[in-house]
Amino acid sequence: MSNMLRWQGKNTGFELIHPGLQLTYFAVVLVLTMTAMQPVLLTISFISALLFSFCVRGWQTTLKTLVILLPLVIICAVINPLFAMMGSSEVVRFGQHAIYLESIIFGLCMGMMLASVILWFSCASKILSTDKVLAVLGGVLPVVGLMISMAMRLVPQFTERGKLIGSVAESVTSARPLTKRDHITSRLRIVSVLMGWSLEESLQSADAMKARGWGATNKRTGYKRYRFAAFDLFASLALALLVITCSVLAFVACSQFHFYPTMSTLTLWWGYIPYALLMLLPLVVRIVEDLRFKWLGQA
Amino acid sequence: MKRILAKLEIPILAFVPLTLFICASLQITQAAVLSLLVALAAIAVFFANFELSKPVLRQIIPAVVLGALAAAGRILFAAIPDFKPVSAICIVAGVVFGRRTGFIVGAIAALVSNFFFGHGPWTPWQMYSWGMVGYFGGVLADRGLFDKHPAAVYVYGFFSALLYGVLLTTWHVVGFIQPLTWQSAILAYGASLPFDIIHAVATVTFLLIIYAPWSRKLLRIKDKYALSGSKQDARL
Repeated sequence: MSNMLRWQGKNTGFELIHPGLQLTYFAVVLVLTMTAMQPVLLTISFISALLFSFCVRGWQTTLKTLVILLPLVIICAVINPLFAMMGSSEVVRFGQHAIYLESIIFGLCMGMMLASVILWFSCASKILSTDKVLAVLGGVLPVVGLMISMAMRLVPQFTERGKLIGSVAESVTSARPLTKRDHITSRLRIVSVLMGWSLEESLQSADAMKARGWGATNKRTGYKRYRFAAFDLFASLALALLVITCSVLAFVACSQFHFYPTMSTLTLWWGYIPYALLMLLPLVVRIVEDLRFKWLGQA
Repeated sequence: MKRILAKLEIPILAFVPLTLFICASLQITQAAVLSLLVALAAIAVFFANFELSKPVLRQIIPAVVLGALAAAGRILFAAIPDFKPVSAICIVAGVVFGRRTGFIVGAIAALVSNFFFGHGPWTPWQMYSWGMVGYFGGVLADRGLFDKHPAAVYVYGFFSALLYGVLLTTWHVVGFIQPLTWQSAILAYGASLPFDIIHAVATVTFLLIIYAPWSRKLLRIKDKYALSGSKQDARL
């Protein structure tokens, strides 16, 4: 029950749409972020990812991620000018090596791109829980979906069982590791036992699954049912329209912009607005949902 | 459809490094996305192929367990950079269960462990590269190389880890360094070489420890649960 409540606390309006659409949205946003190497578009994507992360993952977790991401951006900004000696406005010169402003900016943009991609990914993994991914994959790739979910479940199980095998060895006088050498061999034995145990047990559970009718029907059912409602159709059409507009606009923006040899000047342009709308979409949905909820509470 | 996909297996796997090469030689600006899409396509074709071969539930279990074990091993050794057992486990899987299982173990290990390390544009590349480590392990075992020369598996282990490093560095160089010059490429390879060597040494170390006992154990399980001589093996 408490799990249920916690899950509801994290529910954003974005989760009202079909999981397939959610998956598509994140895929589109990631591809656009990776392709649109243009400072303004990258900044829009970065800020949107950051705001969405504050909203979905909480500000504490997001700040922790930022502590890791900021050095990454700085490293990119430092490394690129060392690798790519190109540009026109010289900043420093070490003998033959010149550091140019343009390549520092390119490095910064590259770092920001990586940072936004990581942020988007972490938001996506929060929203797209394993059961949703399985529900989407289950229809198309039932075997692969099952494999991934089984492997995901096995990793924490290995940790528990490793401890269990270790404590069993500890309690048996003849198997108890005494010297440092013993400790190493005992670790290796634990892993080996773990492999045999888990593999045989998983094979048995595969047989059990089959005996209980796994794969008896062609179409698999999921734990939760997701129906593609009329609203989802409307949402996918709207999303498709927005994505096409944004792709064209991003293409125009990127082809008009260049880093080398001199960076193009950036101006205010109406074309950034649809792009920002796409990137901020889940956040906007969330805010609208919150406001509606408040309004309903007052009424 | 099934046949076309089965025939596509080798071309699409070979097409991934080829794309990197083409992107590098033509200095394509959108190399990062283009190569990412090709890597994704390669993985998709491979998995679709596996899906269409309609494997029996039992037969996917070794790949799942070994993939999860490799992922857990990567997490366990996370403290030591690049010292990870993933490649060694992929090779054992490829040798014992064939090249397809080898690929899938590598792909699953990368995918699952990145849920703990963080996903990013590198995920498909790690999936592909570790998949190839297992795949070639299976191919070489099929040719009987490891039966004839038992030491060859360790040599392969060393070079497979280097192959993994080269693939990932090439992706980084082609996708993220602009403009790409010979000097910058060599600098990047040089910077990654020490880490690749650590990975190679780790792979050989883990192979020395696990290869013989695990192969024996896995072969026994394969016999016990009648996993060989199956439909899927016959088609290979």
